[in-house]
Amino acid sequence: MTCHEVRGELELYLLGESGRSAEIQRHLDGCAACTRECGRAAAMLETLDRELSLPVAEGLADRIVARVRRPRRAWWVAAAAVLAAAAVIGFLKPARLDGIRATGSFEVVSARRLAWKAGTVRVEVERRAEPAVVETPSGEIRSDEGTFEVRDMKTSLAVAVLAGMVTLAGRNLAAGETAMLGGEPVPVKQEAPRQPPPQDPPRETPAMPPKEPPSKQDPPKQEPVPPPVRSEGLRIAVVDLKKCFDPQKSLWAREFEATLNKVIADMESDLAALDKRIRDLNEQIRGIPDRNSQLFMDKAKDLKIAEIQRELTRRMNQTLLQDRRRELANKVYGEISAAVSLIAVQEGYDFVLRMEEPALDEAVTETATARIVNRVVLYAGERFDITGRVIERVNQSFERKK
Amino acid sequence: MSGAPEEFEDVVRLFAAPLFRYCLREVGDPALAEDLVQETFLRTYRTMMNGRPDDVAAWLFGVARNVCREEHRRKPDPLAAEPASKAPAEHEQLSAAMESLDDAERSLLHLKHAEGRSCREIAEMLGKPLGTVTAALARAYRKLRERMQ
Repeated sequence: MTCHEVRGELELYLLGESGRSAEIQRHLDGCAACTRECGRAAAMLETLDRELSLPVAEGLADRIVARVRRPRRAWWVAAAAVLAAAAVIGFLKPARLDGIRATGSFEVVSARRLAWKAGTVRVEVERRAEPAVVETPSGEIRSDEGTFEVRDMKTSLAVAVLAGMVTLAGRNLAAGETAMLGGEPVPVKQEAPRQPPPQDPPRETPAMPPKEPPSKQDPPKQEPVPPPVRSEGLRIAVVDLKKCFDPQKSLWAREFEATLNKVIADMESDLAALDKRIRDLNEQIRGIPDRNSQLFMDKAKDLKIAEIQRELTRRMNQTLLQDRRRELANKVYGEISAAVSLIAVQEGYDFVLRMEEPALDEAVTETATARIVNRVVLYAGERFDITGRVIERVNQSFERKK
Repeated sequence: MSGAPEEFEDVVRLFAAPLFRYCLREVGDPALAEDLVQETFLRTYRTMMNGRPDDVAAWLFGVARNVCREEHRRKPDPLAAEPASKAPAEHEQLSAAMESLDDAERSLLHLKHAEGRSCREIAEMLGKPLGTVTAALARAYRKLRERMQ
C-alpha cells in the first residue's frame, strides 16, 4: 500500500473497521511519517469520542414520539378552530402546537412553548407529558392543564387563571385567581373579593377580551387592577448551596469527595492494568519474527481484544463515575435540604431561597449559561444568609450518623 | 418507507438520540436541544409520510442543522449558545472542521462516535452497502484530519 492509501484508512484501521488492517500494520512498521499521521488520527478519534458522546436523558424517544405524532391531529383541529374563531376575536394566530390553543399576539417557540408579544394572549392547555410555557419579558408562566390569559398592563403583565392551575414565578395560581408578573410593585389595597371560577367560559366571549384601540366616541376605560398579593411580614432566608458542597466546610461533602477520589483511583488502576497488558502484548508481538505464524496471529488477536477491553472499560468508567457522582451529590443535597427545613421550622422562615446552584451533574449543567439561568437570588444582605448554620447542622448530622 | 406512522415512529426512535446529541452540542441546553429535535421531526413528518428519502440520516441531520442555525439567529446571545463541551478551544476547532463536511458525512460521524455504532450497524440502519458507508466515513475522517491540523 502507498502512503496515500494508508493515510486514507488510518481511522478505520484504528477502529478495527478496515478490511486491510494487516497491510496497513506492515506499512506502519516501516514508515515513520505514516506512524506520526496515525498518532494524529488517534488523537482526532479521541476528540470525536469525547466531544460527540454527550448524555441523553431517559425516555427521549418516547417523549418525542408522543409530542410529534399525537399533536398532528390536534394541530389541524386547533388550526381549524382558531381560524373559525378569528372573525369573532379579531386577531388570532394559528400555530403548530401540542395540545395548546392560543389566541392573541405571540410567537411559537416550540410545540409546548410560546413567547408572549403584546396585548392579551389567551391560552388553553391540554395535559401532556410536558407543561405548556409562555415566555414573557417578566418571567415564565407554566401550566400542566388549564386556561389563562396574559394581559399587558404597561409596566407589568396581569395573569388571570380561568380554569385549572398555573405556575407563575414558582407560585401556583388556581382558577379564579389573578396575579401580576414583573414591573413596578402594585400598591397594597383592600383585597378584592375573589371571584368564583367561570363555568366553562364560551370561547367567543373570553373573560378578558383582547385590547382593541378605543373608538373616538368612547372615553378610555380604566384597566381593572387585579387584587394584590399580600407579602408583609414574610421571613426570608438564603442559603449558598455551593458553600454547603465545599469539602473544606462540609463533612458530608468531604466524604463525598474522598469516596469519589477512591472510585477514580480504582478505575485508573483498572485501566493501568489493561495498559500494561497492551504494552506486554506489543513487546511479545515485536519479538515474533514470523508474522504469518499462528503465534503472531494469536498475540495480535489478544492485543486487539485487550485494546477493545480498554476502550470499553474507559467508556464504562465514564458512565459509572457520572452515576456515582450524581448519587453522592444527591445524598449530600438530601442532608442539606433536611437541615434547611429544620432551621426554617425552628427559626420561623417562610421562604429559604437558593443563592447558588451546586454542580450536581457537571457533564450537563456546569456551563456558564446554566449557572446564570439557575441563579435565584442575585443579592441578599448578610443577615438573611443562614448558610453557616446549615453547614453546622449538616456537620452535626454527619457526626451523629457516622 | 411507505409512509406509515409506525415507520415514522421507528425513524424517531432510531434517530432521536443522535439528533439530540447533535443539537445539544450546538446549543448547550438539554431542554432546548430536545425542543429542537422535536422541531426537526415535526418539519420532516409530512415528507416522511410520503416516502423515506434515500439518505434519511443525512436529511434529518441537514434539517436539524437548519433548526439549530435558526435558533442561533433567534437568540444571538453568546451565552445562550454556549457549547455543552468543557473544552471550548477543542469544541470550536472540531465544530469548524465539522462544518466543512456535508450532511451525510456529519451524520455518519455522529452515528459512529456519539452512538458508538459499528460500520456494519450503520450500513444496516441506513440500508446502504457496507463498502459505501466505510468509504464515506474514511472520506469524512480524512477531511476532518486535514482541517484539524
